[in-house]
Amino acid sequence: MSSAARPEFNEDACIVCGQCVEACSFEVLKLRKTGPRPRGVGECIVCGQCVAVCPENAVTHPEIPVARITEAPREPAVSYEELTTLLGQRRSVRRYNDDEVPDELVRELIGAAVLAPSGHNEQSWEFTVIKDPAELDSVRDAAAQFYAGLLAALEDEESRAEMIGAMGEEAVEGLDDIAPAVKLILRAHDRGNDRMLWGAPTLVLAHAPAQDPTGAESTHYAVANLMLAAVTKGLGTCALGFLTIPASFDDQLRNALHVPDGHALHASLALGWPDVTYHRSTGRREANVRII
Amino acid sequence: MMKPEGRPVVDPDACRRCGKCITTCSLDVLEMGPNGPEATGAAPCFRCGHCVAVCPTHAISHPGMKAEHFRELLPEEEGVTPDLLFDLLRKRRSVRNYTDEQVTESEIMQLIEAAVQAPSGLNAQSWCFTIIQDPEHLAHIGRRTRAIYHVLLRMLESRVSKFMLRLQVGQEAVEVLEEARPLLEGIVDVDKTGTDRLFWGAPTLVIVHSPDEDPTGDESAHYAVGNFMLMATAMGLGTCLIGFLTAVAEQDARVRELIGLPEDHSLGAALVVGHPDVEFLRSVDKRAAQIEFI
Repeated sequence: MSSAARPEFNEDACIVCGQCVEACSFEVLKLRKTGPRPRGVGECIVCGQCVAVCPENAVTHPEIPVARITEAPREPAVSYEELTTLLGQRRSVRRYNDDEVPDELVRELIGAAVLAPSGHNEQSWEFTVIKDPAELDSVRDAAAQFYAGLLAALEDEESRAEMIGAMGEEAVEGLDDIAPAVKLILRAHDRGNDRMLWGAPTLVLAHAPAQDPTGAESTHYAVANLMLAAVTKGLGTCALGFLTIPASFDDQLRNALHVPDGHALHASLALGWPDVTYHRSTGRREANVRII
Repeated sequence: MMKPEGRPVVDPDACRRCGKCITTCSLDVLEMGPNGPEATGAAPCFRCGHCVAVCPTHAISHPGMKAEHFRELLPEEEGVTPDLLFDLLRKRRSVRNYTDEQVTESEIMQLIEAAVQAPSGLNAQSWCFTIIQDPEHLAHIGRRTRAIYHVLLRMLESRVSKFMLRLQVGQEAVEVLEEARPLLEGIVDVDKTGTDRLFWGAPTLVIVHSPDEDPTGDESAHYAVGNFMLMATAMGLGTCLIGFLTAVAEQDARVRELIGLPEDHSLGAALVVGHPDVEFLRSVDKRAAQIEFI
């Protein structure tokens, strides 16, 4: 976000140390003998670095309400070991009990989400939270219809050839790889057994205006925060690429998910209380790392 | 696409037949046999590890996972509290002032270990990391990126070249470019300002990419970078996403080569990491989010 507003200075409190000027990456400020002053040029993205760095709490910004400012702990709040444990505690939970997740708790998790960085500090992410059971049924039905059509197309020679023409052979073979899992999910759906939202009572959708070039990236960082905050509350999440991917081109599913016009859906998350206890984390494959 | 690697193996002597592994397996890979659970289900195993994680008697192993990577979890009440996590999330800021001190290779590996705990679509874990620490190499990437923006800014200056640019990249991209113009001029004019406004003087550039064929490759890579940034904060390091590199890197063959981005991979994120040369005393929360409940 860019703003015409500029930081303001409490001259009595300012000790003219110049730290705010140094911290400002975009040359919005300059240092005079009497203290920092906004310059006419430069673009303020309301990042708040000048407010955060001032040792005398002498900087405010018209676009930053005082209620949003918190004194930070001097030492890292969470140690390497503690964070490692938290990251290991997060698993993609696919068993939930029926207990509702209160709206206040959802708001709190989204409060953690929006502490993420965003390109140009746009904070363009928005969230839609679906809890109404009938609405969740429509989401499942729309997804089931989409995937039933996809399976049929994979098995029909003519449609298959068309898909290979449009997506390439490798991508279609990728779909063949997941077809057995999709069949299992659809069979379960026919029996009233939910393997799409995994019985979660809440579906959180994170979307952003399609024209924001870093909308996807920023929204994903917000969702990463949300998933960790959920763990600290004893909640479980599961990112549902199964819904997110087809929602970009299937209108029926997009409507069922209430994605606003002009927005791109970047993540779909099942959210609820886990009906399972995990005793250990299982680690990952060795990552592909190249150091230059 | 991720290929399944093996199926879970149950030790019948340790197994108590509680059935927890069977109920937790989302794809019915495990079924109860005469001697306990067996991996006889029809669907592929995506080695999510839930069966290993849920077993109260350590009776399950998996050929796709290494036992030395398993970590017993603390009971929930001994973990990180919501308040502590909020403190950490608030402590993370996009750091744009760095000291010259290099991040060690073992720190890099700790950060990546945190990154890869993120979820990934179908558990593909398709993320790849290129870490650039050689100052010459880093400077080279900076020069090339600045040169690209220099040309783009020049093209905005005349109506004819702006029209050509619009044909090439589309009206929306031109608008984004015009809006970012003041920032871009600061990036390009490194000699005038004497400040590195692209990498902010950070000693290490991190590139995260994944194969085009993974439909959730970017989403998963971003979740990994989310973890990376938080772990950096916990370790007293600073990070800053370099969206201006991400925006042009894929389209430029030379940059692709310099950042080690294979032809059939897409760039998930570029960020710098280093030791902050600034101390933030308070945090400034973002705007309240737009939320609709249905």
